[in-house]
Amino acid sequence: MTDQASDLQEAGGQPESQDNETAATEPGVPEAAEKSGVSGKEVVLARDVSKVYGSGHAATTALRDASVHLHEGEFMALLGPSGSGKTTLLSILGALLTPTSGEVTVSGTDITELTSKEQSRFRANRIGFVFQNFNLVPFLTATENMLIAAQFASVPKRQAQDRADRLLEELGLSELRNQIPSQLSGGERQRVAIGRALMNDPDAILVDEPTANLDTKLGTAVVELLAREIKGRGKAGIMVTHDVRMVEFTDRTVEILDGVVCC
Amino acid sequence: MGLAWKEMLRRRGRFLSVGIALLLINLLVLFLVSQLTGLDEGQTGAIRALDSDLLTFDAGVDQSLFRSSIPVSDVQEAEAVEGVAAVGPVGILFGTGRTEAEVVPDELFDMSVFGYEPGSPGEPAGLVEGRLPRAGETGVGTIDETVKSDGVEIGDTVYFAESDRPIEIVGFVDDSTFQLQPTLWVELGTWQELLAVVRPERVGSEPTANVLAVDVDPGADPSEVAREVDSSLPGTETVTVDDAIAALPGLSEQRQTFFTIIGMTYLAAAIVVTLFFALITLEKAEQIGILKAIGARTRSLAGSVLVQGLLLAIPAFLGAAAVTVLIGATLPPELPFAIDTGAWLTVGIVTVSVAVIGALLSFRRISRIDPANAIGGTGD
Ligand SMILES: Nc1ncnc2c1ncn2[C@@H]1O[C@H](COP(=O)(O)OP(=O)(O)O)[C@@H](O)[C@H]1O
Ligand SMILES: [Mg+2]
Repeated sequence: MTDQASDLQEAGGQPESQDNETAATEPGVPEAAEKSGVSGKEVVLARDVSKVYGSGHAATTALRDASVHLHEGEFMALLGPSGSGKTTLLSILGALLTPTSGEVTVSGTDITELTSKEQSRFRANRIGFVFQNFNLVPFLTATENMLIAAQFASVPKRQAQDRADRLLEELGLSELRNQIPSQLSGGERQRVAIGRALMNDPDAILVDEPTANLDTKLGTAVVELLAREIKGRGKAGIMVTHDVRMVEFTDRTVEILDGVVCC
Repeated sequence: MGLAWKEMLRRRGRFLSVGIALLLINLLVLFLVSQLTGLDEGQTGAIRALDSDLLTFDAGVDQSLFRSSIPVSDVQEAEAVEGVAAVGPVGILFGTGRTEAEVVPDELFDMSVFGYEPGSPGEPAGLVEGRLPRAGETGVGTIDETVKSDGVEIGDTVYFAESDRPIEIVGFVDDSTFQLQPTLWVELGTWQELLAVVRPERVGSEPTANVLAVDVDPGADPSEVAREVDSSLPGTETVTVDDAIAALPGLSEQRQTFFTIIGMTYLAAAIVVTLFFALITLEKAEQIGILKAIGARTRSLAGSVLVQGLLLAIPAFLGAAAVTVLIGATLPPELPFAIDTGAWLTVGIVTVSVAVIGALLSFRRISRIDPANAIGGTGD
């Protein structure tokens, strides 16, 4: 355990307590907004990343020498047809998958060499995910769904509760805090998911098709909210999407085709 | 761990139904175990009440208490054997008892008569009321307390089989039934009188008993002493009381039958628990993937299942135990039912183990769920 913790630190990871300090003392959106903008420091850096699934005849190259970089407060859209490698790239940036080759650093941490234990610690502390489906735990309330993220990152209970309260308020969920997902609308659920992603004050927010199950109006509201949170808090955000209309809320768009990142 | 508990609380329906299934299975097992204990005790009470280490049988009767016959004079010879502390003759008769002088068929009850030498091995343990017959005191007996339900009291007179020898009840002993029938304990002289009436063919030139009850010296090895007794007394077969009990007709078959039923019941319990956890794990695969993706460790997710298994098994067992105790208290005394704490503890341990194994079997499935599948949904 201690070995692993120190490994993470050596690899450039922040110790949790420091994360938590930041989380607790962060003055909220307005101040953070000042450090937003493309001039901030580089958070996500992927260089020449390739991913090959399987081997021999069955080998599929899902990603070919892909490079991506993102600054603090930068929100990027990842566009591409089905099977082009969007999910693969997002998974690699979020330490869910290990690339076959290439270099990936998130806030200075080289994440390609992490063991699976370190990967899950890294994800808990440094990445906020918003998924397309099956997002929330069905038997937990909105608050509890947010708190489990803090629990996985071993954030002290009180501190986690304070942060959840603030996020609920900001996301307009205060009234719904004790509702379980089945009592919430699709848009409200995605707001809870966004809250959960922000719980541990991550470096990067990775979003996969957040509007796939929402109508245009709700989808737009959710993406607007995401953009505001990401830029306001100085996170690096990547959103995989199909929907070109959502692109207007992002700072730039990267297209991917057959595993090759262009533009 | 909080997650495990919350899930159980908020998905009460499914957990409660499995919990109740486990409780009912436990109830069945505890009831069977208690019946077996009751049957066992009811069949062996008198032998255990002899409270001795060894029983010496007539060789060649296959340890049949009923057919064994040993001269009372063998007592002295057996007492001389190295390692033997004390020896007493025990006579055994099976038949019917009655409380009226004349034979009224409807008023008869099954009864055994054990004759012994007061003060020697073979004297019954477990006196709960009154006293035991004294040495040389004929015509009195102490009887198993189960006859109280037939209205027998101290001072009453009982008769054995066709004998018209009145025997006055002077005390009660507990846990001394034999083949589920009450035992009347009399001193050997009284027993010889009854023998002469009921089994006249057994009365020869010298008095006999059925077996010898042998106590060994403290620290002596009982099976070693048994061998010594057999070599000093030709034509005898000496065994430990436990072996003599195991050789009682039907007892081991009875135990085997019960153990088979209990084993099958546990198999059902194991299948119920394993399938339950396999199903809820399968159903939650997506959710487990998400939780892993946002940083949950496989170990803690698996730990949750283990906690749930324990939170199902332990209350199910305790609940079943409580219900079984209640049922036991309302059962009529004729029904064999006895609580053996050791056996119940074993049931509890097996139940918990079954739940733990059921949970463990879902660990592999949980560890195989790839968090990378959480992302990307069902394909775009
Ligand atoms: N686990 C996997 N095993 C084998 N091939 C995979 C796996 N995941 C994705 N692929 C393949 O890699 C390519 C890129 O997939 P993906 O990253 O899911 O694309 P997108 O998200 O853009 O639809 C596709 O050809 C897909 O079939
Ligand atoms: Mg995809």
